[in-house]
Amino acid sequence: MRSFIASGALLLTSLLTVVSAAAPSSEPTTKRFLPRDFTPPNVFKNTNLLRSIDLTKPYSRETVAVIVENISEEKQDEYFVPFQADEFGKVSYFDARDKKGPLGEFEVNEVVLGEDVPTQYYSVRFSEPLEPGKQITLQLSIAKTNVVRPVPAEIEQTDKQFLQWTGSQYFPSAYTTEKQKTKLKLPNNDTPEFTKLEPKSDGTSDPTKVGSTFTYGPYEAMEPTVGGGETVSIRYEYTHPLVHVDKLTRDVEVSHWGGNLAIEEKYWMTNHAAKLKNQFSRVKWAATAYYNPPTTAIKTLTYDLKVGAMDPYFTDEIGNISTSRFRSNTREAHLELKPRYPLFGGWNHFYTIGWNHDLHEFLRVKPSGEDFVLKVPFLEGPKEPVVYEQVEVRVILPEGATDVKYSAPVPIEKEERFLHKTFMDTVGRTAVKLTLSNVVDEQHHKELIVSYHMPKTAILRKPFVIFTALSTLFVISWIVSKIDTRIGK
Amino acid sequence: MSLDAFLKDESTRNLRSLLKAVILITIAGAAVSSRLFSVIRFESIIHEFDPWFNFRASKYLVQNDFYSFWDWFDDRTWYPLGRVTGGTLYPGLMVTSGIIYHILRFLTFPVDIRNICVMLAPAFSGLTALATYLFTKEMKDDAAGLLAAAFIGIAPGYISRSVAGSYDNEAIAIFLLMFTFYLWIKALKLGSAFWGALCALFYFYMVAAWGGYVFITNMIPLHAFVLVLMGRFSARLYVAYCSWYALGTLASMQIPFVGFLPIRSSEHMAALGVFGLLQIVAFVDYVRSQVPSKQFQSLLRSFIVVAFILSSAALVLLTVSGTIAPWSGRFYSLWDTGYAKIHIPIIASVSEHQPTAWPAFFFDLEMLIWLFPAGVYMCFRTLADEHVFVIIYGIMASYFAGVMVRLMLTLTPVVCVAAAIALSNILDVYTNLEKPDPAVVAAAKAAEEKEEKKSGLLNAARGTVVGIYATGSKLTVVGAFTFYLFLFVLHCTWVTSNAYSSPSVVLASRLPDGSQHIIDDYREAYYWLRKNTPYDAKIMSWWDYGYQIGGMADRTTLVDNNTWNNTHIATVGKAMASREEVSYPILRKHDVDYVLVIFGGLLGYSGDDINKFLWMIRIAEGVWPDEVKEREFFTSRGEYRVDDGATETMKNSLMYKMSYYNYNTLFPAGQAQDRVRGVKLPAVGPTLNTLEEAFTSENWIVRIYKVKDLDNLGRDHASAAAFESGKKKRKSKAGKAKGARKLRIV
Repeated sequence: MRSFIASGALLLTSLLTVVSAAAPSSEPTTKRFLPRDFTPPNVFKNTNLLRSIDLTKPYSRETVAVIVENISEEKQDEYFVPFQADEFGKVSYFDARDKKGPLGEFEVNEVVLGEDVPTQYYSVRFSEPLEPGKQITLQLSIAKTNVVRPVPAEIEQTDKQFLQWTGSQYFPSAYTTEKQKTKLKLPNNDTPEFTKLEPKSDGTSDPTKVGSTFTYGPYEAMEPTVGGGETVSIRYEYTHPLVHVDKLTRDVEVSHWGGNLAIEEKYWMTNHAAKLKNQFSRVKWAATAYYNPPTTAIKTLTYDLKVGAMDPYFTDEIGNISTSRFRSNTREAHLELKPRYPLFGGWNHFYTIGWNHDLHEFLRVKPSGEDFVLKVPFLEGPKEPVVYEQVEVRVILPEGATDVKYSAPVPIEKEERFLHKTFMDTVGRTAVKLTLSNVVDEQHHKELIVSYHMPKTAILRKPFVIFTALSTLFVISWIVSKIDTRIGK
Repeated sequence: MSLDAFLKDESTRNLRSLLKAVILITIAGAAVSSRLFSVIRFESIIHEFDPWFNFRASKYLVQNDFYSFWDWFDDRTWYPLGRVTGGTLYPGLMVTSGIIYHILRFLTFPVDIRNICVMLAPAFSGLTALATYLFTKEMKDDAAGLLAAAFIGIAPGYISRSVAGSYDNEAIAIFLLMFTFYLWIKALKLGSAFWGALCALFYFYMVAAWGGYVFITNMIPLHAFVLVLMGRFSARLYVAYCSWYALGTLASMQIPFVGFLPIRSSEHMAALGVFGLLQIVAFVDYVRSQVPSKQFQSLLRSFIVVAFILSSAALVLLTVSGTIAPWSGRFYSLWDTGYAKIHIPIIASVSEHQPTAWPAFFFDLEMLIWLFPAGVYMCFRTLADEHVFVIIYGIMASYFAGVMVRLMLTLTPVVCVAAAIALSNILDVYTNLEKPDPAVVAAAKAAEEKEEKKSGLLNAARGTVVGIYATGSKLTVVGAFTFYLFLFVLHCTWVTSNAYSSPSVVLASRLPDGSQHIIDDYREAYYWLRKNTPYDAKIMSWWDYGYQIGGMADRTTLVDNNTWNNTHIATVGKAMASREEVSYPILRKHDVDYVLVIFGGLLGYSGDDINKFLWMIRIAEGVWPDEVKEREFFTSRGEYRVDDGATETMKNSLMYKMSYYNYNTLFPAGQAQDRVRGVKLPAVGPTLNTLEEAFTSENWIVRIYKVKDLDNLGRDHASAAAFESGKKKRKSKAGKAKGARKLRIV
């Protein structure tokens, strides 16, 4: 009897310690703070630079291959890329790697100089310093959002849509560039307008057009430039929707009791395509439904979920959206959503989707039995090109989880830790909220790894609480039923 | 007999109550699950029209606190008037679901208020079964109670108003009705002020929940009055009635919507009158007990009659002088079914206010309807005070159910009770396993034979052993009733599944391969409004859709299902029924941004606005008899047509134009078909100048039009449209003929 009480007390104290131990852990920042008047030291030279801009999606993806030479006397390991302040805000991601050598990915940091400084930088840190006089081939991958807009801004329902991309003639660089050119890859060769620059010295026109590719340059012996020379713009046909998610919240909820991983996503969506000049005509829409021409309206969104996804749902504020299809087998889990109405330019939609997974496919238990590692996709969006303005990913771990550490595939802007109370929780479940902004669909399907510690006793908390509550209820009702409330006998 | 011992013996009492509890829980389970057809077939969704308002109000209650709900002024309905919602609704339903919501939230269940609202009616139907059990138990015994509980659990007449998603006041009101009646019977039987007070408490809850509380307000006094007339006045009656009336009336006055009605309106005067009468009777009774006299009885009678006449006269006088509000229109239509059609078309336009067709009784109650009279007869046989109640309730409810379809709901409980009493009596007789004592039988037989020898006549009544002992007849009757009961269950399930489980917001159809296809046009259009129009956009539609627009589209409406302002509804009717030139100024004056119409022509959906159009015209004509005339919408042969033969007034009406605008472009030239009315439409579709089509749902059920702004050059829209289409400015004959009909824009 005595030992039983003792073990009960032990259980209680262990429960209590778990509560107090749920303290936040920290994560290294990707920002670098430098003085306001910082200018990069002139230690490099770009021997050759090729910039390819891919415009087949409604945001730009630049791949810059540049041969960098160390022209200083010392070893150098930090290469700066300048941006004008307004361009800086459009950068969704910035990756750098050693293109030919064995060094792989390099660490990239945002350089913080202050809010109102006109020139901002990204710094690339080589994992091995570059010897004086030596060269390295850097490959920079940059995605920028908000660089295209529909022109004209309003079209008829069945018209083609044209997008206008605006950028710069040169790649902005903090160093002298000996030779560079810019290639623009467009989705098709229907380009009614583009900026024609001064013909080159050999008399050929600038740009040159081959198929759906435009080439500006080559240009030689460029001084460092932030603005990137002349402004260049191209208008091209793109009769597809511009899916813009104003906000996405993604909840990943781990349940050890249910052996379940529940994922729920909420989308506040707008189509940034050209607006309708006149009102929506159902007759035209129904008429074109037969031959299915390209349209700027969002008709369907398709999701390729992880194999094993179960029980999907697709709802909004007023209930189930009945137009969804789900195909799941051992090779795929294909979810096809149709919004309630076709989303034309400027139209909004909100929806919630969610599904479940077997937790065992995502959770590893360390030999101790009390440490867990969770590996889930950080984002799983539709297959269509998407730009997310704001993304919130919340990972909700079981009640009593401590020592939460995570490693995210993309730089996180803000991290919050809180307790999430649901389904008869007493202290609440440990949860982490990761916020980031300006994300593009290239980031889908990358893995988020979360590790946490959960003592075996924590899982017994809920049955214990329910048992206690019910016993108390029974005891109280028994006592109440025994009280005699009669006035006269 | 062992079975009898089990059923009656004291030692098995606990076992029996356990069995009863299990049966009741099973009944509640059956009641809940038979109401879930729509959730399983469709989804957890609020049904029809009124529930959308209740749902919206519940959401408001859980998002804000109770006091702001109480003081809620809703500026998003009845634009530009608004509605003092907090003071003009019965808050019981919303508060109930709000409390459930907060309890569940306290227990950290992340439940959505929508799911509570959807499941509230089924959950309360389980409680109704319990209340009916208690009520019937007071009438006969446990067995009858269990039967009644089973009946009410699945009777279609009650299910029609309480399927999952049917989040209306009736959802909880029937439970409250039965429970209040049970408490009244209990109070009356025991003469207990405690039970009377409980009865008042639940009466208060009922008042807070449903306008139908007036039924209780009149039933209990009527019962008391009849008891007094039967000479059954007792201290029990006095205590029960007075404690109920005093507490209940004071409590009911706490509901703002009721306020001082209990002392000012005719509907409540009976209760007050009986209260006064009981005081007098009690006084007289007391006097009589002190002064015994033979003439007293007749004196008492005449005194009561005089008092009754005097108080009635006072009531009429007060009503005429205006101190007491006269009977409301809805009440008059209860006595004269033709009243509403003539005087208040808006009440008559609601289908559930129509008189009941006789097959509906069988449809909604099946075998119960023929057991009902038998049950009432059984009540006459015993005729204790409580049986009088069932008889009165049965008579009143049958009458009301015959007058108005929706009052079938109040009839159902008493039918279940009476039928259970009847069936329980039958089963009592026919399932009795007892055999007569052989000795007695032998003696009787011998006596009989003697008799026979004497008179030569066979007369069973003369025998000393009376009863049904033959296994054959027992089996036949019990077997027949078992069959009827199975049939009843089958019928109830069938009716519930086919007639009462459609959310009407979502329509279902079948694809050629037999799979279900959901027609979701309403939500498509409402959601489009919600997401793609400014938050303060004003939507004009016929009042039927007001609550749905408020709930699903979250936009301001002009009129809605709370039809408190006939003139405002008539204004909308007028705008729909008039020519564009007349309607446009009305739309502008009411700041209307979008107009929504329901059109079923493409799909063959008969509940559309063209079919409801005559009511719009009638209601508008009631207010503007000079401007809107029903006659002009009928052809000279008195037909209501929408094809080539439609009248000019019809073709020029805004409703007609909005329904058929652009519709003919969907068909080959001259082939446009209206599938609801089964007619071919004119080859040239109507033109619209002052409105533009903004959205049409997939199956054209909902069509939304945007009201155009004023022309930039100050022209009227017709000439602006004519100019744009390249026509010369023609001198409009119609314009000249009507001369003064210019745009009246303020």
